[in-house]
Amino acid sequence: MGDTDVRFYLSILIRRLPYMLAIAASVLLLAVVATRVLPTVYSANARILAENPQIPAELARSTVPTGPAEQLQIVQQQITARDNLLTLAEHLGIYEGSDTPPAPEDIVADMRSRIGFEQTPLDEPGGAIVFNVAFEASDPVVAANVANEIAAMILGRNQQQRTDRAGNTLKFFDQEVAKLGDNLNRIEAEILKFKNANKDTLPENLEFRRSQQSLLQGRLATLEQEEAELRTRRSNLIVAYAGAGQLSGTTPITPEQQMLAELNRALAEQLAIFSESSPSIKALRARINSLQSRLVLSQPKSEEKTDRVKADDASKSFGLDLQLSDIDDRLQSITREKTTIAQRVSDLTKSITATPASETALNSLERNRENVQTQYNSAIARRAEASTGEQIEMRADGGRFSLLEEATPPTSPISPRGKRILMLGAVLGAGLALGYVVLLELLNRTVRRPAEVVRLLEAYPLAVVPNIRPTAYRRRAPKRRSVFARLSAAVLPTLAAAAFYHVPLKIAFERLLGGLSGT
Amino acid sequence: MDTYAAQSQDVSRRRASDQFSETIQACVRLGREIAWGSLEPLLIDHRMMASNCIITADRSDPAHNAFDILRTRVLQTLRQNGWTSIAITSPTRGCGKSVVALNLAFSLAHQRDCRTVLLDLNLQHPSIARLAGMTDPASMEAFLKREVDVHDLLQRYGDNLAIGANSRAVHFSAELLQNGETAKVMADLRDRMKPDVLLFDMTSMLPSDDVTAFLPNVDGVIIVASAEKTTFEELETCERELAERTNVLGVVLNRCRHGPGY
Repeated sequence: MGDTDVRFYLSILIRRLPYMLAIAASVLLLAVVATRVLPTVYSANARILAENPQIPAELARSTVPTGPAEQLQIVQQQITARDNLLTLAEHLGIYEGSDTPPAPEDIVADMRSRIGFEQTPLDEPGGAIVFNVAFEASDPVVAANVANEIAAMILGRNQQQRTDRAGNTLKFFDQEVAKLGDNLNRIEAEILKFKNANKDTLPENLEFRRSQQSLLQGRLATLEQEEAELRTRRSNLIVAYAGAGQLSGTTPITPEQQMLAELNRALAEQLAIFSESSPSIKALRARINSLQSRLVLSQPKSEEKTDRVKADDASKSFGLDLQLSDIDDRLQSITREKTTIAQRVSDLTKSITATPASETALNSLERNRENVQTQYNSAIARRAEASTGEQIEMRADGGRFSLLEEATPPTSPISPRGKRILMLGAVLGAGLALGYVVLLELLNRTVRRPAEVVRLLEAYPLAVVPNIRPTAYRRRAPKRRSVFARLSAAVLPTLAAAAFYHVPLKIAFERLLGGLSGT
Repeated sequence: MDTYAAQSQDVSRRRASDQFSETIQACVRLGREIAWGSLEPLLIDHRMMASNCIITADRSDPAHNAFDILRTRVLQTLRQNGWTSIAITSPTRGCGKSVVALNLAFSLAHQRDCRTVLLDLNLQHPSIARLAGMTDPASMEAFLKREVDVHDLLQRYGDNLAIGANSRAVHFSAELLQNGETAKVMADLRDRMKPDVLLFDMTSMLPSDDVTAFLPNVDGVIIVASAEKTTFEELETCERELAERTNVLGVVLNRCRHGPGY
């Protein structure tokens, strides 16, 4: 059954062969017409090499860290921007030949479809990349010119972009440094002002003030001691004068009086050291008091004597007065000095007490300054780096684009690709022809062979009469002619249509090709 | 006939009866001979017939084998069932009924002991006369209305094939075929011609009711289907309708480009 089926279908194919051939031939003819009618398109290629930085990133970093691929993408977007494309089209006069100037939207769309960017990375990853910049045009020279122009634009834009970026980075850090410097100056001025305002309470001369304070206190003690000595001397002088009798009426100094004087002196000495409430001072005072009370008991006798000598006192006490006045002068100066010193000591004490507060304020100011200083330092360092990066970019040692191969006017068009279209036409024709036969077979509902009668009626045909060819061939000829008539009727209008409507045909064919090739 | 009857009175009863039946048969044979002999002979132009695809007369085309096979099968079926009359129809027009009928008739004509009558009952589109190159055919309508005698209708080819062609189309053909008179005419024809095979070339089945109307007068039907023209549906409908009413001998697949092996 399978064998007979194959023979059956083969016989059908052979019978339909004229139609199939006609269909295939007309499609092929269409393809031929298409290759003739379709406008020729030339594509020129410029190749751009994108290299990675030549100075290793570990040594000096470029300030433009984007890779070549991203850079190309950025540049690609910039170049395919509407305004840029319009400028390019106008500059190169791409649409000058057309009768009516196309709308800007059409120009942009057309230019975009004609510009091709293609990236071919070399084998090693992260290595250099080669970009293909292609432009399609009906004139090979125009195609090459535009491709070169676009390549030049890419190179120029890349360079400009890189230097711009590097310059921008440097500028940013410059501004940063200037701003921080201003800050620093301001803070330092503030500190100076504060120091000037609080120079007595600054912590840096605290030690000096403390030593001065103790010095002054020592001095005060010395002065008091001296004062006590002077007082003692004065009383001694008085006692001595009285004892020597030079003073009329004066009695020689009793041992009690002498002892009282000594005790007084001791008390003065002790007072310089100890406070009033200390036990030794109390003891001294007690002894002085008891001696004085004893002296008072024996006073009347001496008082009489005193009164007696009072008359000639003046002359005799002249020398004593001189000494006494000397001592009193000294005592007075000591008292004045003591007041001054006490004043100074109290001032010093006040300034020392105020020192911690101003120290805190100063500290905060200085901390602030240190912060700004740190920022300033790092900004300076970064500016230096940015400057290096800029230098690298200026010298184009960073990753860069270079023109590897200029676009030359192509010698052979990329479209129409005659062979491809013809092949397509052949395949399409064969497919259509086969489809035609298959369709006929699918639509055919007629009895064809005995097997079908058997299947339908479950009975073998009574007889199978072959197709009898009449011996006289008069009837055959017009039939054959009609086949040719039909063929030409099918093909000729197609050709005529192809000839007259080649422009829409071209569009349709281009769409067909585009759809088939998937581009 | 009278002399035969007079002679038979002398013989014994048994012999007489044998003789009688023999005589009857002889009379019948004679009558048939007379009837057949009186037919107008048909002269045919083989070249013209060949160009009309009638190939079994002179066996010019190897395709005649198919008709010989058909003839043998038909004859066997007829003899088995004791049938004589067969209508040849097709689902639609143009399937080649008349060609098949003519070819079958000429093929049967080669069978010496078989007398065949072919009547063109395709009253709407008569074509037997044209195909067989008959010059002045009678009107079938007139014959069916007994206006024309059978001898004037039939033309004889050789000794054992008589063809009754039709000169013109008939308008109310189904009514004519269904008429009771027609059945009588047919019975009369059988009676007089005593054919072994009576072929009726009929109209196509589906477009008209001619065949259905005439079916009571036939024993069996042959359906002619034209390869690549007759659809499955047509063939199936035709076959079903005919099988309900009469005996379908089978389907002849005409113009088949693919041999029986396919």
